[in-house]
Amino acid sequence: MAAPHRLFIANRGEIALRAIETARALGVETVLGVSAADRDSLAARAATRAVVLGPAAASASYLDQRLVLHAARASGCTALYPGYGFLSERAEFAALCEAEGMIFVGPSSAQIAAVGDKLAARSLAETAGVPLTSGSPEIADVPGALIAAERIGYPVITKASAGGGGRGMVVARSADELARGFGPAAAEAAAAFGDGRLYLERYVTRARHIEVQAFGLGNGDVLHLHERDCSVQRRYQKMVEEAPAAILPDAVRAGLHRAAIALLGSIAYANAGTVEFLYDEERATFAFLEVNARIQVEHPVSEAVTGIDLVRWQLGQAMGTPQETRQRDIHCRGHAIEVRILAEDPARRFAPSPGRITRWRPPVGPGIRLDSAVAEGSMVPPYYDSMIAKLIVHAETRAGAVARLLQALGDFEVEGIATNIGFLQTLVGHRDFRENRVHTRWLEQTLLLPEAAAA
Amino acid sequence: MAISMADIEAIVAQFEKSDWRTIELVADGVELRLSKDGSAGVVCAAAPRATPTPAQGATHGAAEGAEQGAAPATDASSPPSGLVVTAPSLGTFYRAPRPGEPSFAEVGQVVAKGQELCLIEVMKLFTTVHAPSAGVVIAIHVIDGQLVEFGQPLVSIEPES
Repeated sequence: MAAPHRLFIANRGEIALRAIETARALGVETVLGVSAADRDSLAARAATRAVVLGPAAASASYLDQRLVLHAARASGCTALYPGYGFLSERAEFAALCEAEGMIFVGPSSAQIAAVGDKLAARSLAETAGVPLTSGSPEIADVPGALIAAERIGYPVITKASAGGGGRGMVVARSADELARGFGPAAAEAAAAFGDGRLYLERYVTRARHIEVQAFGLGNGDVLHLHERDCSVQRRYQKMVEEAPAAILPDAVRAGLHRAAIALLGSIAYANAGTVEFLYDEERATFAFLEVNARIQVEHPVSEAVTGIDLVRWQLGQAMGTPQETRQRDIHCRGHAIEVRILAEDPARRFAPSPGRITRWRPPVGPGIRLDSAVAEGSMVPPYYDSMIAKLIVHAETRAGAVARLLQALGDFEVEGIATNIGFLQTLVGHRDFRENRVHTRWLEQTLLLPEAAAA
Repeated sequence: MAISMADIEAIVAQFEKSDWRTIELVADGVELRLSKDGSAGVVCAAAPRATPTPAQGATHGAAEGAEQGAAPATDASSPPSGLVVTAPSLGTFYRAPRPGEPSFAEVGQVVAKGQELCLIEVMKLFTTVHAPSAGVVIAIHVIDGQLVEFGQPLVSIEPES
C-alpha cells in the first residue's frame, strides 16, 4: 500500500471546512493554511493542523502561490485542495504544483489554461460542436457595427474584447441605438481595459443562466451530474441556485448535457468542472458561456439531487481511487435550492457588514443542509468574500423546496451582523420566483429596482 | 523618556475602550502593536524574557499563536526591556547564510541595528530578517531548518539603553 496522503487546504471558510471534514471521513490528515485573520476560524480548529501563512491581506497569504506551496511541502502534504476562488483556477499555480510533485486536486494546468481563456474556450466549444451565441469578430467603427448587427439580428449587445464585468456593454434594439451607443461603449472599454476593441453578440432579452455539473475521469470520459439554474443574480453574482433547471424541455436538457460532455471530453478533462450556458427561453435554444475549471459554490444542489458527494469524488480521484460510477447510475431526484447567506446589508446597497456574530441559530430539519464555517461568537473578518453560509433545501418538487426554504429562512436567527436573510425571504416568497418566471435580469428589474434607479 | 509598563497598560486600556481596530507604536526600544481582529499578527511588546517560551515551531496550532499575541502586553510584572523579532511570513527558518557556515547571530552576541539575524525561505526565495534595534541577542526561539509561521517569534533582542 502506498504511503498515506496528507492534504493541504488552500482556501478558507465553508469550502475549507467542507474539504477538511471530507478528508477526515476518508482518514486523510489535513493542514490548513490560514491568514492571521483566520487563525481562530472553525476551519483552523477542525484541521489536523493549521499554519499561519501571512497577514490578513489575501495577496500576502491565500493568493501567494509560492508561500502556499512552500507551506504544503514543508508540512509534509502530498496533495493540495484549492476549493473555489483564490488559486483554484490559476493555471500557473497548478503547473507549479505539478513541477514540485504536489497533487493538485483538480484539472491539469493545461486543462485550466485551455478553458480559462475566453476566446480559446470559445473555439474549443466550436470545435466540439457546442452552440455559441451568434456574434461578430472585432468591429472597427459604427458602419462596421451596423453591417454586423444586420446579420446577427437585433437586439444586440456590444462587448469588450479585453474584458468583462459590464464594461463596454451597451444593448441596442435598433440601428439608431447602436449608432449612438457604439462610441461611448468603446470609450468605456478603453478607459477600463486600455483597449477599446468591441465585438457584437445577439442580446437575449429573457436569458437563463443554466450550467451543467460535470466530472471528468481524465481518460476522455466525462460524467454529468445534471444541471443547475442560477438565473437569480445581482450584478453577475449568483444569489440563488437550483437543481434541476425545471424550465428546460427534456430534449433541450439532454442536448445541454451532451454539449458539456463533448466540450470537456475533447480535452480529456479531469476532476470537477462546470460548463455554463445562456438559455434563451423564447427560442428554447442555448449557447455556450464559459467553463469553470473547479468546484463551484453551488455544487451542493447537484449533490442533493444526485446523492453524490462531489468533494469526496474530487479527493478520491486525486488520490488514485478509480471512479466506477457510470452515467446510467446517476439520477436526478426531487428538487434542491441553495441560497447564499451573505454578511451584507441590503438596506445599505449590500454593503459588507463584517463583525462579531452574537447569535447564530441556523434552521434544522429534514431536507435542510447548511454549509458554513461560522458559529455563535465567530468574527466575520472584513478582508474576504462576504459569504458566510449556504443554505440548501431538498424536496420532492420545486414547490415543496420553495416552501421548505421559506420556512428555513424564517427560522434562521442571526444577530450581531447584518445579513441578506430577510431579503432572501422576500425574494423566495415573490410570486415570480415561486412560479419560476425569472431570468438573469429579473432581480435587478424587480426587487432591486430602487437600487438600479439610484445607480 | 522611557516607556513604562504602566504607560503600556494605559495604552491598552484606551485601545480597548476605543473603536480603533489596530494601533502601532514604536518608541524607545519598545514596539507595540495591538489589534482587535488579529490582523496585526503576533507581536511584539515588551518583556520577552518574562514570557514563557514554549517549544516553538512547526507543530503548534493556530490557537496557540493567538495566545502568544495577547499575553505579553498585559504582563504587568515584567520590565519593558526586550524586542521580539517575528517571522514576516511563513517559511523555513535558517540561522546561517549557507549550510555549514557560521550563524548570523548567537545568544549573547551584540548586534547593530539593521544587522542580519536569520533567513526565511519560501520556495528557494530567501528573505533576510534584520535587527530592528541595536542590542544583545538574548534568545533564539527556533531551530535551524524549521518551518515557522507568520508572526512566530524568531529572535529576542535586549535593546541597548
